[in-house]
Amino acid sequence: MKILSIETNNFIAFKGHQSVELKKGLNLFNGDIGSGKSSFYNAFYWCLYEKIYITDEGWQKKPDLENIVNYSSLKFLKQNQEIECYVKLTIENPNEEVVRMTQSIDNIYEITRSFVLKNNNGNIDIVNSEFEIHFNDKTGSEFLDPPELYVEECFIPEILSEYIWFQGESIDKLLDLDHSNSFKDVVNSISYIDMYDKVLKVLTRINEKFEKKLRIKQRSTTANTKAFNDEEQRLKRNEKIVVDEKKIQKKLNSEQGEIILKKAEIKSKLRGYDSTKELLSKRDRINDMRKSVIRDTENLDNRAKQMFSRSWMLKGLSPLLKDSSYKLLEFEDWRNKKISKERELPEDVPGDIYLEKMLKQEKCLVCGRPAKSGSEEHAHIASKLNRKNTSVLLDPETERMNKYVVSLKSFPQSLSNDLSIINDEIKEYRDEDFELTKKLRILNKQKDEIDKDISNFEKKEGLKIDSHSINSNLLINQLDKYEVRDRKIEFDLKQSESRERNALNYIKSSKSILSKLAGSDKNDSTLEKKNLKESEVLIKAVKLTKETEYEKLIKDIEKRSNTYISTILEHNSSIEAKVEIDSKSNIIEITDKNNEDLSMLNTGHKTIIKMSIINTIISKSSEYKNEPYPFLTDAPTSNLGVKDTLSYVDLISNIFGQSIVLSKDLSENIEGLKKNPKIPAIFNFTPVNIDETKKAALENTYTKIEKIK
Amino acid sequence: MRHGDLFQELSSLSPNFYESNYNEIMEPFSDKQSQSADYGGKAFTMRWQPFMYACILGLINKRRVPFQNRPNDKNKSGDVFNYQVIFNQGHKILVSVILSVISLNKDGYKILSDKNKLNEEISNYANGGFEIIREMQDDGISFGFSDFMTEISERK
Repeated sequence: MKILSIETNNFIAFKGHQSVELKKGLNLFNGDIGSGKSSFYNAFYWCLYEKIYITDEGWQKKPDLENIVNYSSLKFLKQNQEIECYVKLTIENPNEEVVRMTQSIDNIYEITRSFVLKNNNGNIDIVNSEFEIHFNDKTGSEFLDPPELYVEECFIPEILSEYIWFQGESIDKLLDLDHSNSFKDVVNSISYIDMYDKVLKVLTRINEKFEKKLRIKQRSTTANTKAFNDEEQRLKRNEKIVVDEKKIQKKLNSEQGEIILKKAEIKSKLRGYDSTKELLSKRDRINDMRKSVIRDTENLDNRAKQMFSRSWMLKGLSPLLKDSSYKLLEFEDWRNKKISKERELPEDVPGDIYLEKMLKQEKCLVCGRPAKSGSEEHAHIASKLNRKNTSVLLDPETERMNKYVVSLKSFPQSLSNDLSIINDEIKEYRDEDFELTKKLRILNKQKDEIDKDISNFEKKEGLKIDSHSINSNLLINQLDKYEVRDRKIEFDLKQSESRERNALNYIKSSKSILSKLAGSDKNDSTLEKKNLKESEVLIKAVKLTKETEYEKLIKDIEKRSNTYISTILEHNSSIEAKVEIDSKSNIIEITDKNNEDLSMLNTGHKTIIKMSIINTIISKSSEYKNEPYPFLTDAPTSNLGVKDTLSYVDLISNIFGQSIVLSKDLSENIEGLKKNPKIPAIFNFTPVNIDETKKAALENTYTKIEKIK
Repeated sequence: MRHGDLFQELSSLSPNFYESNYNEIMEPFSDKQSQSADYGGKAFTMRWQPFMYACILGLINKRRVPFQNRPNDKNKSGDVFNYQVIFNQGHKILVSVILSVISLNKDGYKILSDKNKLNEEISNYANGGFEIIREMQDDGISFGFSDFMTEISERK
């Protein structure tokens, strides 16, 4: 089978009509995150199975058509205007069966899923929705009806599509290495082993018919019809019990399978959590230190703000304050001079020594007149004493000024001292601020490094470290609940198996009784009994063959998977992994060349191992059925390194007749890939901004698929 | 410490400033709600503080800009704060400013004899300081707290 082309019209990221011609061999599609890879992947699924894959949500069956049509086209749909959306796959040689049935003249089939939306007064109505498969036969144009059935039976069965057309992120669900039933399910789904089950089903049906015929014969020969009928009723009841118990077991097994998958998923997440502990504690340590430095910076800043508005704003005023003290002194000098002048005595005024003499002698020594103690003359002479020590009052204006100057004159010196302290305080602040900034810069660098380590870890392991750690307790609780349910199922299964065993024993005994009631000797050699025995032998033989074939297939899968693994990891000297599969238990063990356990490998390597096993089974199946299916995968390598990605892509081109690989990891190697003769076609997903004056947004961009090789 | 009647006489007066300087510098730089000035908050907690900061800036840079009649930029004073508030909350700053005005005034201490003249001189230097702040803003200095710190660190 080969997909010749895919055409899209207004489908999700692809505006208008776009057509891609696909080549035999490897078709590579390169595009960044959000460039439209998943839209392209979904185009195949929506066209064939009417479902799309949504990241982190999983599969969505019959998605809302408004989510399928190109967003920017729908956004600008005018009143009463219609928009057509379709995906058309043109496929050559789907399989021998369909070619034989349809008598197509060119073995080319066009599968188209389409719909038309109309803007009806602001409401979006579905005008038309169709799915058809078209081909050309000798009579001209023909349509296959019902098309859904043909897709399932003759093109790519949906169950198989999951394994050959997958999203990188869903690979864990396809094959769980920790769960043996998961591997068994993969083998049963995509290998040829299911053929044996189909044969067994047919043989069992034949066997049942022979039983029925034998019973009729036995009834005709029995002497005790009542006893025969009673026993037959008992047999039927027990047969019904077996059927019912089988149904119960199937249901329980299926539930247990899901629980085991979920348990494995949780355990894997919890294992990842152990590895993240160290990273998280380092990040927490750095964050705590950062918080402490930021807190210190805040405190320093607050202190500085208070100091700034209280005193630091005065910095630099020293020269002015010094100068002001001179100006104040100028006033004092002026005033003192004025006072001194006031105190100057006239030349004829005697000094204090003469005055004291006059007071003692009680007479004026200048004029000779008497000045008796207590007389007015004596008091006049006494008033002239100590004149220089008495304050002199100047004019009121000068005295007022003096008051102001006196109130200010002590300040220049004390403020100068304050300013010297302010300078020291500011210097201290700057030093402390510098140290804290330096510390914060170092911690920021360390934070960037740890964030980078965490991001690399997340990319490599495919998990989110934060939600992971937050959810760990939740996960442990969930795991406990699943464990309880698992034990209950195990108990119910044992009970059911025991009831089934009892019923089978009763059936065996009933059959023997019925045989005796019918007259065993006479009926031993009847044709009916012979047929029944032969069919039972055949069933046993097919079962045995299936077991042998299964064992052989597992050995082949193991061998070829290991070849694929070593091919992909050829360049990687750090790891030499191989798998060992036990055909009885279906347990897959990953070991190194010395058979040492490697089950704790990182997600990237586990992905390589899983894809190698799946690809092995598909290639074995293709060889057996002689029907190579095309291979399609979106972002299969998101947790692989570049070299592993290139080796993987190379391997795919060797296994599948046609493969379509969508990846974001090829950009750097695109020139080298263009020169690779094994790759016939390379395409780019290019985002186009409709209106460059506007910011890139969903309604303003679409994806263009450009062929670059 | 006695301050005499100088401050008593000055206390009833209010400094002058343009309305635009109040609206665009004093108001945005001071955070009246936050007395403790939290991290990321403004540099000043009182309205008079940015005024006195501008005055000191004018004094240090000897930028004295007398008020002119500006038709679209009215004079605003009294209703915001008076010298009593400055004296009560930042007497060292007020004394420093008065002493610096004396230092720069051509009549020296004589300015003390006229309180209105002293107020006018303080207001003129603040007006000069506001001009300097505006020039720095025009040069792209946003004037967060760190810019204030840088400015005072660069002073001699």
